[in-house]
Amino acid sequence: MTLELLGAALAVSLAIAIPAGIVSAVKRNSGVDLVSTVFALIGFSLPNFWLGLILIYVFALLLRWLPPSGFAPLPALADNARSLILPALTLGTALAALITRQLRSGMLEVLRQDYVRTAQAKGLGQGVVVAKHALKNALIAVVTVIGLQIGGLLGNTIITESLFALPGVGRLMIDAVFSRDFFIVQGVVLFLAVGYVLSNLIVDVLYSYLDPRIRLG
Amino acid sequence: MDPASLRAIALRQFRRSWVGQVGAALVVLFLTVTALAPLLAPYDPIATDFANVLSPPTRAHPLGTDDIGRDILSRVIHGSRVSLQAGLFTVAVALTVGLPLGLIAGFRGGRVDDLIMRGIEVILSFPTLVLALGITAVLGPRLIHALFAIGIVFVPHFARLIRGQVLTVKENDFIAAAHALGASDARVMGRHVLPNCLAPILVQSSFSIAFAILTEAALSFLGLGTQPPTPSWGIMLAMGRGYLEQAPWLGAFPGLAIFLTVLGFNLLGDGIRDALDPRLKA
Repeated sequence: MTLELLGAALAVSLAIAIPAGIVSAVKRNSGVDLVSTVFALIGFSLPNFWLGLILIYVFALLLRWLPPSGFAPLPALADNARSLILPALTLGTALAALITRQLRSGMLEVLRQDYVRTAQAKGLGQGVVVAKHALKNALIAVVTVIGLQIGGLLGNTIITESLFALPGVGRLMIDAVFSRDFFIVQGVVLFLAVGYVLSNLIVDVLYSYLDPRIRLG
Repeated sequence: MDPASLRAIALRQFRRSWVGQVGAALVVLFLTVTALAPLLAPYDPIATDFANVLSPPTRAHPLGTDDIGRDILSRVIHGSRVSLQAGLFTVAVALTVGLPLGLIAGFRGGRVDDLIMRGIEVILSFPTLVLALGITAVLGPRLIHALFAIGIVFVPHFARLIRGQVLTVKENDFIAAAHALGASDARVMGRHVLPNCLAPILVQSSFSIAFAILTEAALSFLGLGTQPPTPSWGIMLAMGRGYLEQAPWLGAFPGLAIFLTVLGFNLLGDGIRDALDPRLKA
């Protein structure tokens, strides 16, 4: 459950951040760039529990499009997805803001490089150059940010789960804290810490895939 | 270049960035509200008025009232004090512990460095909020415990930052000169190394205050930080959650207050960083 939420949040933030970051770097100082820069500044400072409340208010209470809370387990695919949209948005926005910012500066850096100019001089279309030459190299910075932020994401799942009444590890921990059940608290803290360390390991492995020059010793 | 002119350059850079300006303005607004809270608040933040329960924003109550008739504007204004306390106290804890650790680790190097940094990495391997929650769980849900927990969680960030700075600064000739003049290690660290590490610490402090305010609000929102009836933005949000449909203003305004304050400190940090080192500009 928690893992599913994390995955969904990560997917949401990448879906927002990658196009936003690329476009704002390629069309620097344009209107789109301004919008995505402002989004990156605001999204990072938005308290996610407040954002969650706003999302519940607008999409569940005013528009009645999505359920305000609760969780439909997996076999019911459509309901499951619907119950995860708001939590994933709540959790993913701050990360999306950070990634957008990182990707924008990473892309700006890469687009200045000689090999990008070479690729353009060869007559390759702008799309190919951006996607194949620039993006892959700019992604290294993005992967770093994600690795560092997984910890924050794990912490914020606790808030998101309690806000949307989702039956995940975070809720378990909060309930355990209130009933002073220290064994469960210990267990969850350890579990999340191991998850965090593991995800950083995955990030390190991803590095050498994205940039073969980096060899793991 | 003498330090005065460097400072002048930084100040000029800072004036040129609108990001830093907006941040500074928000932070000044926040500090003013905090300092003048009793004068600015129209009502007692914990006085109940059962004749005006869940009143929407009106002239008498510009931001409405909550479920037991307390004025939300007054509570938001007084709530800023808890947030400021959270920000300053946690950064103070993080600096008191992190600064000497980072300084010694960077300055001594070798085995001392290894010992300190491995210890720091243990703390780092826990997600921030999870560790803060764990510490509060053990100590019991009280504001001071929550703040202490957040402060401890920040220690690694400061210690690593300072260690990195010290490693660069101590390679300078003036450090060797100070040693040659017979200055003690403590004097070299305090008088020569530390002042040259202050700029990044300032930037990190600004970001950390923002994060501490956010974390205090989050812990209070979960019921583990500030305890009622003390007005804290996080608690007010948690209460607003129960009345989302009937009275959305309950949660809207404290949330906005958190957002603007956090945004202010983040932008201020960005502004200072860009001013001090234009190369890092994102």
